[in-house]
Amino acid sequence: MWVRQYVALMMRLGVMFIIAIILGLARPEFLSVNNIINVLRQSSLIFLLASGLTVVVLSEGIDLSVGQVMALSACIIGWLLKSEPIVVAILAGLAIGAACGLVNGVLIAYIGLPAFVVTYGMMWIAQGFALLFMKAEIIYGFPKAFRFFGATNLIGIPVPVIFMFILCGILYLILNYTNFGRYIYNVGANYQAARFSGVPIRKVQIMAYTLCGLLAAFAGIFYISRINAVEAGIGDPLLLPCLAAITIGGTSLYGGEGGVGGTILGAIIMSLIINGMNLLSIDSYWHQFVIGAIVIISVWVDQFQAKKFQVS
Amino acid sequence: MERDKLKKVFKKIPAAAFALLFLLITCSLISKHFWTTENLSNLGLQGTVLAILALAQTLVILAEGIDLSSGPLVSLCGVVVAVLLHKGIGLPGVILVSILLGAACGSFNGILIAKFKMPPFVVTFGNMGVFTGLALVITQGSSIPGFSEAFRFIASGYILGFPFMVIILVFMTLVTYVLLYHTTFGTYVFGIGGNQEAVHLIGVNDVFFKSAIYGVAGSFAGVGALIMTSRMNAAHPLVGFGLEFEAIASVIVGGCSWTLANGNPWGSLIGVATIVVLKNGLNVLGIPPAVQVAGVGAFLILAVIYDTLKGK
Repeated sequence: MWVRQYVALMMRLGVMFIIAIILGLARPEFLSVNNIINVLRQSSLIFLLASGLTVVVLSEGIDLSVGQVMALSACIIGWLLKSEPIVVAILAGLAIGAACGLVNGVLIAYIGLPAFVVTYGMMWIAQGFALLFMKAEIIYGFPKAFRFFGATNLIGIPVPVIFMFILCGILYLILNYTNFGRYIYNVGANYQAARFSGVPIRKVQIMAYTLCGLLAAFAGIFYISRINAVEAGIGDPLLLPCLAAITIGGTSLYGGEGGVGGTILGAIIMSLIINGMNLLSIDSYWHQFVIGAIVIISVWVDQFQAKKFQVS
Repeated sequence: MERDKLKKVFKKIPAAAFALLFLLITCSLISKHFWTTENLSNLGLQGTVLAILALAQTLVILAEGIDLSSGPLVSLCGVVVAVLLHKGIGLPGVILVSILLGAACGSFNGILIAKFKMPPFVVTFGNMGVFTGLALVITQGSSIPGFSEAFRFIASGYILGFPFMVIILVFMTLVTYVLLYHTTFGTYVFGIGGNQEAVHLIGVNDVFFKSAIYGVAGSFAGVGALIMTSRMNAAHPLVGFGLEFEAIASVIVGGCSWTLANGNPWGSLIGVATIVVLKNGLNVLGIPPAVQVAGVGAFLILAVIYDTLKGK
């Protein structure tokens, strides 16, 4: 088992370096410190959003609403920042994100609705509320203290990148060294077996979706702090890169396999590709096409590997 | 006995029928203009493309799948149609290309899902990016306006006093009906939705039929694209955005479910009427379109809850 994981990890690192080398050869400015920090910063935003989704996917679920939930809580944070202290705004935003996740979780775990329908409905509900709230306006110019999250550096490293590694560490510990984490893997690997061995499945699912919503709101903080503005549509194009990061990172969409460490690599690979397309000045209309194709190819590879190893 | 019979009849009526009745009463109360021929024909025009997509989605959902890419596929086919029309290709050729392109893209979804056993919502979500991306690349993000009278006849012409669009819709409904209830294809749609393993074990090429279901759904999207492009007298690369959501909502509200191939095309058509009237009602109340989307999302989730609880 560990041999396979090791090979998979090396393959991902290999892909990452090959892309980096090709880009470096094609465009020397790619290898500048500034650009590499830029790539890392971009990948941290993808990772923050994808990390919660990774937990849900590990439990054989899916949350299509992460982007819009992020947008909704970001809008509320941006609006509250105009009048309230930063702490209040952030707490309110996190609460909204967690509440959306909680609703998803309850509907999926207790009423037994298919996850992709519930979260697909939630995606449009959250988007609608965000639009209602913002009335198609943009709020910009946040207090300086709030911009700490997205736009400052500590010892030369952007704050979101530091947070990415901290969050990855925390999630790694939770997933591997707590009951909740082990239950997540159990539920994802074999639902029936988990049920019969007394895993509190409903609780685990609800916690996973709530965590996902909470982390989406968390990602929203960094995102709007970075761009210093917020509008209702910021979450729309983010789900595809997140799904791509997760599947490239080796988390199986069939649940029970993978982890947040892989998602970091996936996020870095994704932002390398996006950055590369920008540097090579590829028409931005191609971006969606490329990212969609990457999702499909990486899921296909995942499926292919799963089959190959099932036989042996 | 009587009571049991009543219960059975009651269980057969989809949630949409009650909702539609309620909405019709509410709409006639809040708006004097609801029952005018102008408004009703307007609703019909809005509903036609949606209804065709919903019929396609019915096939897919009956077979335990989902197609999130049908909206973007409408955009892609529409854009290709527009380009070909401006190149001077005749009407029959354009119609053929649109339907075949839809079928090809749909089959691409289907083969990935059936042959490579990838989850339908991921494949079609990835292809949503691919199709949107292609449409954007072809048009460079702008819309292509202005077509010949002959092409505009598809959406604005009348035959014997009936709008040609409605005749197409009736034809597509008949096609769906015949496909589902009078061909082996239809039998296997229900079979794959009910128990794919069993269908496979009796020696049916389930992979072929499952791919074909998505192919047929794609060709429906091609027909929808022709009507859409003709009605708007322009092709825009994002015109189909969100259409798949309304189609899925209509089908679910119309009583189709993923378990054991429950549902029928009639329910889906009632669902389409419900969604269209709901949006019309919200329009009359002066609620912005973005928020209407949230309303439809909430409605979708309520309908799934209703059907799930009813089934218990």
